[in-house]
Amino acid sequence: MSSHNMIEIRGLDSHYKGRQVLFNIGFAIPHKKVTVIMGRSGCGKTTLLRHLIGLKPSESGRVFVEGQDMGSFDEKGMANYRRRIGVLFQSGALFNSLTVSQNIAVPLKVHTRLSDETIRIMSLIKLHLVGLADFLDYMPSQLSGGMRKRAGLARALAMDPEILFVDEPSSGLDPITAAGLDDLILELRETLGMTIIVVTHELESAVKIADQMVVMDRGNLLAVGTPDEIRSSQDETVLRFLRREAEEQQVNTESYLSRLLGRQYKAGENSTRRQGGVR
Amino acid sequence: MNPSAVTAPTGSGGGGRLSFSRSSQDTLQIAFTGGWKITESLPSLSDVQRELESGSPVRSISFDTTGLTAWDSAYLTFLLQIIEESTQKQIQVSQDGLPEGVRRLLDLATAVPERKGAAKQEKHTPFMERLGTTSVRLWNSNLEVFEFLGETTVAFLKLLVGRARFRPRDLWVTIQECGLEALPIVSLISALVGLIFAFVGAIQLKMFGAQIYVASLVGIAMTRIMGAVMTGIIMAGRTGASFAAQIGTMQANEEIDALKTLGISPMEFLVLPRMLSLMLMMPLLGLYSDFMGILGGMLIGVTVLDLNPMDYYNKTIEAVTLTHIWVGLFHSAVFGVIVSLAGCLRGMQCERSAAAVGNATTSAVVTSIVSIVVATSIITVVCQILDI
Repeated sequence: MSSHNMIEIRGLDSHYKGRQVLFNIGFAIPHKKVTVIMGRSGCGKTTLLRHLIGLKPSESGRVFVEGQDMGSFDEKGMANYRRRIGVLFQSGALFNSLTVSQNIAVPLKVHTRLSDETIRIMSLIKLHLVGLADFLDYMPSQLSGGMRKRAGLARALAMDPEILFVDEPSSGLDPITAAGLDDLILELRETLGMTIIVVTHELESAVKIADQMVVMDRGNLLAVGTPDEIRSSQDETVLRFLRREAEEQQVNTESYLSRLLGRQYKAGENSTRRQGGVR
Repeated sequence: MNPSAVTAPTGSGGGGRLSFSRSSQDTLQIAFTGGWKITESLPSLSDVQRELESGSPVRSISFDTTGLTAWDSAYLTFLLQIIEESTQKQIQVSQDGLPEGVRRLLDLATAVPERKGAAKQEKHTPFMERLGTTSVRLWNSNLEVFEFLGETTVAFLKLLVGRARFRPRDLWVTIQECGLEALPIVSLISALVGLIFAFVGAIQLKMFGAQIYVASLVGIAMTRIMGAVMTGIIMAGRTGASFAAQIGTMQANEEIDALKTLGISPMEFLVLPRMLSLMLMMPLLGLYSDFMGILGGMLIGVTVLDLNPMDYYNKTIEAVTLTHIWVGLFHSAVFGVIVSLAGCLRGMQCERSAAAVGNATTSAVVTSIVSIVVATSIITVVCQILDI
């Protein structure tokens, strides 16, 4: 395994409620680069993210962090890994019963023995970073969607993580706020040299921030490469995704009608079956 | 032509009407007149079915819409049903006579592709398969309970060695919520229960002139069982439900995931302070409930039975031994564990939706109350055997 890779995924399958949602995913996430995992809604991006942040256990030998098998992490190993990562969830996932500054202080209070004053200053620094220094004592419910996400980012950055995971940074935000968040992500890579993994379905934002793009479709890996490589790809599905075309799907009028008005078909089948059952 | 141009106001009033004519031996022409809108009364498909079955067999259907004054989805649905019926009977349908807007919408409606696996298929499952699936599900849910119990035990052990991580403030807040703030409702219910006991007992005991024993009856019943049981049930509905809702909402809001990724155990951070505070508060509330119940009984004794308050007090002191109080306290402690466990367990098991939070809350209350009743029975039987 090459040493410039932070995380390497090999042959990862995943199931959700008996349904397979990821099929043989394999790619590497380089050090200190922004990797964007992209695909349509429901293609398995978030499931993949959950595997990478250790919320969904993967089988042994599937996900490697700097060469170490994540499946073999014991409780302590996982705790160490989690101390190295920061996660910004789709909704921000702020603790609703705590103020913004208390939210950011939670990881610091739990993991460090810093004094309250130091923690306060550190929280303020993180809030400055995301432009929310004036909202220190606000409750999450008093913040707008964009602010909540930025506060979530500040909390994710509280412990100065080496790896930052961002789930759908632009979902539910207006284009200007979303662009602001993209700039922030780029700035974090520049100034703090973080390895950043972003999951998104926004093509524009992906091309803007990505050093490496990973395109997924229905649980399969379509393409991995720099934005330029992806753009020059010859793969029909990738091109279609880039052109934002809806997929051509076979139209079957008859089956649609029977689904819509299928009482005759189904009622007929059911009644015969029921009769059979009684007999 | 766009649909709105076709959707003229229903000048004639009244609903849509149908009429049939045969333009040739095997061609049925269906004429639509009037307003075919959702709010109007419309003919049913059976009229068309009857027409198709009567007379000579029909090979094609055409439409005449010159008398159609207005239409919306109701008309579209009717047409779709006719098309479906015709497809099954292998009858040609000509859409030429339909307004252009209708034709376009029909095309759109029938162009929706089927998503593979999206439609849930109703399947008849044999009895044995259902039995098997249910058993496996029950077994798995039992495993979940044991897993949760194990994790709770580990969290408590960590607390004992001083390594559990939670905010002490959370503990105090929960203690206040499930202790102090529960006092009014516990007072009311317990006093009323004591009052009811005194009333029911008084009627029987008066027949023997033994009214004074109402004090013993209320005293023993409240301290030994009823104080604890009533508090348990109140706390199940009040605090257990609130635990499940709080933790369930946090689950739906990804806050639990956030805690985990911050390297903080939700068991220590959320479950531990809640369990601890309820386990501490429940016996205290139980004792308080005993007191309120006895007070309620005394109220009836003094006012209805004309007993001397001092006599009532002395009789109560005489009847209620320390053993009864210990048994009551034991009940309370067990109920504290049950209610907090059920609330936190259901909250942690909650899925990511608002409806799931509601289900978690209901489930927490049901689990608590059923467990309280079962536990009471077991303790009572054990006390009987041990002669306590």
